[in-house]
Amino acid sequence: MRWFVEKPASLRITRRGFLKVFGVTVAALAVGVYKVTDLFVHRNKYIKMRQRGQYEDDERVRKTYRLAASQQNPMIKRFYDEFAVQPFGDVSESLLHTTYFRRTGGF
Amino acid sequence: MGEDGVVLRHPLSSRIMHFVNMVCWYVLFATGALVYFKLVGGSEAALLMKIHILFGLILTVVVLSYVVMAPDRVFLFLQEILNWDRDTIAWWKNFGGYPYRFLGKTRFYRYIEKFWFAKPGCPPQSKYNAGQKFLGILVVFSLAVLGASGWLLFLFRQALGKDGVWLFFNAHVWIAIVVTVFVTFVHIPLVIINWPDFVSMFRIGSGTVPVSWAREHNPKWFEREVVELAESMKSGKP
Repeated sequence: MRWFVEKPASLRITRRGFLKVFGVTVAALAVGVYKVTDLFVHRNKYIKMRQRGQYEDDERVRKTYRLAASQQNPMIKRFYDEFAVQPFGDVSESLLHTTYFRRTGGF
Repeated sequence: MGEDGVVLRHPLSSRIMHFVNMVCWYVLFATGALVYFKLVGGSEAALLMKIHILFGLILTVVVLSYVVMAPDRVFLFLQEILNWDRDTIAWWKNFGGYPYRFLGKTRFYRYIEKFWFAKPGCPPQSKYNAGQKFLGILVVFSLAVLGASGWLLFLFRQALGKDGVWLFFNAHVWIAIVVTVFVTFVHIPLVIINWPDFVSMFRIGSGTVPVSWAREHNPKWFEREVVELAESMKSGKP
């Protein structure tokens, strides 16, 4: 009986095929790795933006009132004296702490 | 078996890879689906997830081993599924004649015979026809995405952040469901219809098909990429 086999790879890989396979592979890897690293780098993007905004507000108030430390801020002192009782208390936690989730569902 | 000989279609390395991929894929799908759709309780779900990780590890090791140990097969497979010539595009015009093959002798055919997708005939195809090339791209893509997303979710869940976990988890689940449905209801029935190809992949022995079958279904492959084995080499059958 006659037996047939495929030619060896060295005779079947063409220049166009080589460029096509490596081009597609490299492009897929590049896009995939970029997306994963992009997600990794920006995973805390909104938390960091909020932190930066709070520190900027704090610095602006201290410059305006010429304060040495954040806890000397008269608005913060009044907030705790008259309303929130103490830092890390139930009232201050319920008002000042936030959670992060998608808020774009309604748009 | 054809009178005029046989041609090796699936070497042993490819058949092992295909078999392990098939078994692992369905175990992974079954365990994942049972947990995702909450069809089992908490302790059963925990056990199923351990099985899911184990078979994911087996599949990952086998796929990477195939890439390392048979790079020529991997490269030629990728070259083949990415090679879309005029005949590949022409195949999609009537889906390789399958609608005609299934419906041509039924009464229903007279209602669809004027449409392009119901015409008979099939343009000459290379080793894989256009539908198989599409499936090949789909499987390679899904293996890469499912593997990457699965291991990232298992090993680096905390580092991904909420958006990353949401994206990878949904990609993992829905790509797996879509590809499994496609393979189960399209790939498997069609390959069973093409019985010699099915046999060459799964029988115990060499992965050959009759030459007459190869000439009919894959003429461009047989004419351009296949040679007859020398008499002196036949003792060690491939």
